[in-house]
Amino acid sequence: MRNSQVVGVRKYVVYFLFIFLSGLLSVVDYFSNKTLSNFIPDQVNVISNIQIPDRFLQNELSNLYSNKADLVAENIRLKEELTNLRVLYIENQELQDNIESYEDLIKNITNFDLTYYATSLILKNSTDEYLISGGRDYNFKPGDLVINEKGYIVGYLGEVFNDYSILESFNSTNFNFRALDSNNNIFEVKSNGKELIFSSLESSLNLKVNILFSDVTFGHINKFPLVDLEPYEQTTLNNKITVIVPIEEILTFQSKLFIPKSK
Amino acid sequence: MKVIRFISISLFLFIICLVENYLNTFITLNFGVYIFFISLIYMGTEIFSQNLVFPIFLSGILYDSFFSTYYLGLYTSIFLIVVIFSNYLVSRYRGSSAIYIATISICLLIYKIPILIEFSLNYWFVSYCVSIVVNSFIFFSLKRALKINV
Repeated sequence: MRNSQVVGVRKYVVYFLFIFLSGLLSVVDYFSNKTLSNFIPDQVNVISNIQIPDRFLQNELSNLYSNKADLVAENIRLKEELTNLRVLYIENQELQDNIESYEDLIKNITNFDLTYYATSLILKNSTDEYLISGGRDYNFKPGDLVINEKGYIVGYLGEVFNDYSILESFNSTNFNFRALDSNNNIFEVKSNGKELIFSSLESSLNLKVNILFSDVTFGHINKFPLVDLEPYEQTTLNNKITVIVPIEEILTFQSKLFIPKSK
Repeated sequence: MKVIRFISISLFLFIICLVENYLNTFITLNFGVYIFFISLIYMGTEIFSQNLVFPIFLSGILYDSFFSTYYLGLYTSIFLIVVIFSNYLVSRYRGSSAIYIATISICLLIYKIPILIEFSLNYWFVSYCVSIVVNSFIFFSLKRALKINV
C-alpha cells in the first residue's frame, strides 16, 4: 500500500519539475519585461508564411473521385484556365470588399491626414483576445487604436509581433482605456466581459454624457468616438458618473477593422 | 529518434491547440469546444506517462509565445497541472463516468483560470456549465472510439 502511494507521488516528480521550470520562466519574463516571451515571435513571421494553396481554394478535393479518363489534355488546359480565372475572381472579390470597407470608413471619418491600414481577424485565444493581421511590418505599436468601418473604436493593440498583433477588445480581460467626453471630463473604461463600465475620474456637473472620444492626451493618435453613452442609464454618486453599457458587438471574420497611423 | 518523436508530438499538440482556438473563434455560441483540453485530459487519464511532459511543456511554451499576452510559462503550467490533476483524480477515485465528469469540471476551471480570475461569475458560469456537457460528451466519444479501435 505504502509502495503504491510512493509510486503515485513519484510519477508526478518530472511534471512538478517542469511546472517549477515554467514558473521560473514566468519570473524571468516578468523581470525582463517580456523579452523572453517575445523572443520566438520576433524571430519568425507566422502569418505571412502561411499561404492557402490555390488548389484548396478551388475545392479540388471534390474532384478526387473523377475518372482518369477525364483527365485529357483539353480538360487540364481548361481547368488551368478556370483555376486562374477563379484565383483572379477571388482576388477581385477581396479587392472589392476592401474598397467597400474603405468606402464605408470614408463616410464616417473626418480626419484624412492619417493612413488607415485595413486589418482582419485571425483567431481568438483562450482569454478571448483577438489576433489580427499586421504587426511591426506595418509599424504598428502597442496602444494603437483599432476602429471599425463606422469609425468607432473597437479596442487597441495589446502586443505587436512581426506580422500579427493582439487586440485588446471590449470583452478582453485586460481591456483598460481612457476617454474624454465633450466637456473634457476624463472617463476610465473597464470591462467585465459582458459589460463596459465607464467611470468619470473627476467630479463633474450633473450633465448627461453623450459620446466619449479617444484623445491625444492619452497617447492616442487622434480623436475617435468610443461609445455614445446617452441611451444608457447614468448614475451619479459624489458628482462622479458611472455608466454600464452591455457589449453587443462581437468581432467576426467579416468584421472590417482599421488601424489609423500617421503618414 | 527520441528527440524527433518528442518534437513531432509537441507540434501535433500545438496544432490541436491552434485548431481549438480557430474553432472557438468560429463558435459564437455561449460555450467552447476545447479539443486541446480534451487531449490533455485524455493524456492524463488514459495514457499518462512521464515521456509526455516535454511535449506538453513545449506546446505550452509555443502557445505562450505566440498567442498569449500573459507571461511565458503561465499556460505551460496550466497544461501540466491539468494533466497531473486529471491523472490524480481518476487514479485515486477509480473509474466511473461521474468521476470523469467531475475531473473535466475541475480541470476546466484550472484551464480557464485567467478568465475566471479577471471576470465575475455571471460572465463565465453558464458558458462553463454548457462547456462541461459538450466537452464531456466529446471526451467520452473519443475514449469510446479509441477503445473500439484498439
